[in-house]
Amino acid sequence: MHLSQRLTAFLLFATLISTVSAKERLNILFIFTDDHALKALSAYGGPLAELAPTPHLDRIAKEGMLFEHCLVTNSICAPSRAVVLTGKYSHLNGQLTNKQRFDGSQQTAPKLLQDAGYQTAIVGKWHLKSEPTGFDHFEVLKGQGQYYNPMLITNGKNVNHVGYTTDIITDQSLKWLEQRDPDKPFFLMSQHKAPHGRWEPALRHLNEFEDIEIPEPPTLFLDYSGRSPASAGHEMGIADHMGPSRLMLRYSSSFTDEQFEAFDGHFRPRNEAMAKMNLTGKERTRWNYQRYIKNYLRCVKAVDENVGRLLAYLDEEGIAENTVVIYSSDQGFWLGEHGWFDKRWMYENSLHTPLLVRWPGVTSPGAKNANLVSNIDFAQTFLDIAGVADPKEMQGRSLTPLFRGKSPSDWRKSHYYHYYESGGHGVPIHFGVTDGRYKLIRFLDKDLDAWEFFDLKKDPMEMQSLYGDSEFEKKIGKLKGELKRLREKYQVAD
Amino acid sequence: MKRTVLPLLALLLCVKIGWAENSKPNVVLIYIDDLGYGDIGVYGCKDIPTPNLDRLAAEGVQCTTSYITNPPCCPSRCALIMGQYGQRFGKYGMSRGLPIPEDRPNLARFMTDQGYVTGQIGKWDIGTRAQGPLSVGFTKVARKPPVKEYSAEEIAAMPNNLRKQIEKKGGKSKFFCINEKGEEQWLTDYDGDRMVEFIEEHQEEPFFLYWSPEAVHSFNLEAPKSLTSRTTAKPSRIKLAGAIVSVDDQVGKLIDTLEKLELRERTLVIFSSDNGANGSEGGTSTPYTGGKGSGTQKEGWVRVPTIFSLPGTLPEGQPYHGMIANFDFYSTIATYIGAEVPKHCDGVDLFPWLKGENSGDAHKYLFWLNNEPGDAERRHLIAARWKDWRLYKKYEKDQWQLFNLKSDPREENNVASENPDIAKKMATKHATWVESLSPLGEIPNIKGGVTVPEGHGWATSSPSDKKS
Repeated sequence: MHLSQRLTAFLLFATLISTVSAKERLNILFIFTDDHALKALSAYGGPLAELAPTPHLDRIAKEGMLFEHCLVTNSICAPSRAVVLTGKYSHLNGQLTNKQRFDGSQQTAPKLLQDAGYQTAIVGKWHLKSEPTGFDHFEVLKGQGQYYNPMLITNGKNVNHVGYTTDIITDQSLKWLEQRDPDKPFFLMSQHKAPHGRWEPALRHLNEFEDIEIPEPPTLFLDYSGRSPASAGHEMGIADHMGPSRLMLRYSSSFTDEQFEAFDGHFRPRNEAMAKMNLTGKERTRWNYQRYIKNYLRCVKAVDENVGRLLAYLDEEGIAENTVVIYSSDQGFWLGEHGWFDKRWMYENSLHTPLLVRWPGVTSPGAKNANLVSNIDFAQTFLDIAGVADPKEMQGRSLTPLFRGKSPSDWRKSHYYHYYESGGHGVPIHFGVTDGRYKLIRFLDKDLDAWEFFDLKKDPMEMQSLYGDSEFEKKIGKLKGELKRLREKYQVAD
Repeated sequence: MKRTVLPLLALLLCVKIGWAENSKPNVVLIYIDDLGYGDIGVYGCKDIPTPNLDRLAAEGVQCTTSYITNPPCCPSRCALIMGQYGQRFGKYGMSRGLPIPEDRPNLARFMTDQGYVTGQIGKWDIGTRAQGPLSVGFTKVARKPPVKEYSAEEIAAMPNNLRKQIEKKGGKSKFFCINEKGEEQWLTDYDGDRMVEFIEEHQEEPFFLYWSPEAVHSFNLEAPKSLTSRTTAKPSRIKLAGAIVSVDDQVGKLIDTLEKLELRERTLVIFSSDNGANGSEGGTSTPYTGGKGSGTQKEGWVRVPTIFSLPGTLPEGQPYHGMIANFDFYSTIATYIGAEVPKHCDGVDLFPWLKGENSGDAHKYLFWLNNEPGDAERRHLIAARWKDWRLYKKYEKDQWQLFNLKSDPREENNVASENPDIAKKMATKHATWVESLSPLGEIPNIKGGVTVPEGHGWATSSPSDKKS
């Protein structure tokens, strides 16, 4: 063969290989939101599912797998994001609270995927202060960002956008997908600010749920008497702690004139009407709840529509079959249960986070999984999907066997939780363990050392701590042993 | 409803984006007393750890050529709050007791009129005795807490230098106060707690907070081991070092509070000093020379550390080297909140420079003139700055001296005779500026009147006190 012929043959071969490998190597689309309560995602059912359906998110569940028990390790924004990137607990990745600056020099899943030839990008909320590492392209909000007219730090440069942030994050995600090299697999983290407070809905959703009353959770007026002193010190009460800007009595975004006219035009007359009513006590709490839950659900609606846009793109591009779609949130949220908004607690609503996975040909449509899984597993799952070996120091476990419908006999039977941000919204430092049926929590902070124990089957709302109840002495002792074992396993310093 | 516009954003986007009246952003202005150019980490200091100020600079813009035009304490603060050269209202030297003008809005009055809750904590030293912080426009003032009174035993056990100072004050402490719980607390730390308290209370309103601590003014001899032991400073400046560490701690409390309340990206923080270092306390102006006392002819007397921080709007970790002055803070704040800068202001909106949209000096020239007959002789100063040049003399009758600060930051080689054109040009500019000034003011004879409320908690102005 002549040199030129050999070269042509080689190039043909090379092209073939890369096409094949792009086909074989799966794309990963990770859609991540902030503070999305399971109750506000209709695939999970519950009292809001019919009132506020999320058809596009439900589609992922319908065509893939829904995880009933995805538990976070530290229920707050920045720490959760660091866990997802590193596959390590907060005490090892260094992001204990929202205060620290994420150490981007450490090993992360995106870096390993990038090394393995993946095109990597993150668009939207980052919230880790340091500049993102491991991404070919980053386009992230500064800190919390705002709901309207966001600034996105685009590969180091500040770029201002006009519009609704949830839409813009999707626009920019799609733009990046459009320009990608189709011959190489991609890993895209498309991460929303929504539905994090202060809940400013899109203009098109201002009138959603307008004429209906959203049912109140039965624990809206809880008095915490069944628990340790820890939760009574909370500062996340719908009654007392929302403040004007969480209730749209004050706005947080800066607006264009047009946006402002529509936004203020909606809220101002309603706020004035409320002021005239002179509401007090429970009546005012009820008004706060309705205002809060409606705006929260409106923000979720915009997320849902934008998830639909991403799914439609995969269909149109013909890459849906070759792309694993994962939807999750940095943690759950309190939608008025126990009288609360916010997260942080190891109690069920903020411990659970949604997890939906569609892997065509692997996850069976409509499947549900009841294993104890966690955001600590995400990094190794990404790597496993991509066929990249996971580093020994990661502390989770790939979920891919579960995706295939198998439940390995040695899958974890208990989950370790540790919250570190002392006093944030009045929540003390605490840690604990749950096996899904029982839960043991220890609050250990300034002037506080208290235990709580719950039987989740008999008391799913965790109203009555049974710590110290002689009937459960054995069970509590066993969980204490399990707590000790997990703290050793995960190298938590005493 | 009145809406305001951020012109810069608008220019970039060709769409007007503005703060609604009920979502205006916040401002915190910190003004330290006698903090030298070379005495915090980000400005090159090695022996005093200031992690929080370093972080503020890493998350903002460090200004390396920032001036106060009217030294020392009192005139500096007056120029700051009026947003103009003190000489525009007759203030040339110290002239303590000279009123600030009431025919134009000072920064506090301006912010209050813009709908802000305006808080003041710490040292005042502005205007006449009748012009207290509440009467000139602040809506809330932290009361000055009672100071600790040393027992005879404590005084007897003191080292000589401290005992001398404390005895001069009749046994009273300068930097230990008694807090609301009846406990002794380092005054700077007490102030920091008030900052946190103010912001937490007013997180849901637009707020403007002005904190000017007594620190790090002399004497710092009381600085406790808990502060000084955190530094590696030599004995000659270890007490000052301890005082600076506490200032840094409060900046940490401030940043943490803003972050916790999710206000960091909507709160402009400005940190600066009222004049240069006090050498007698061990303060330095490195790499420049001069400062308080015998160094008032030199650069270090008027060049101060200044940091602007507003993540998401201003660059982070990118210094700005152009010339600015403390009277620019007023114009910058006014523009940031979407208001019009009052006509009397000498300053400019610094954001275009801090962002790198404008290059070069924000002020081509800056000038100094203190020929006030009653003021201390050592403080007399006639000076101008232009590019790398500094031109000065002490008295009108003296010869001009000219220094190139870039090649000669210590001002050791007077190059006036080698550069007659530059000296002449700067002198001419100075003369033109002098012609635009108001005559020397007369200090009124006002006795009595409590300018600073005392006790714990906050003093507030009743609505009838407010002038519009």
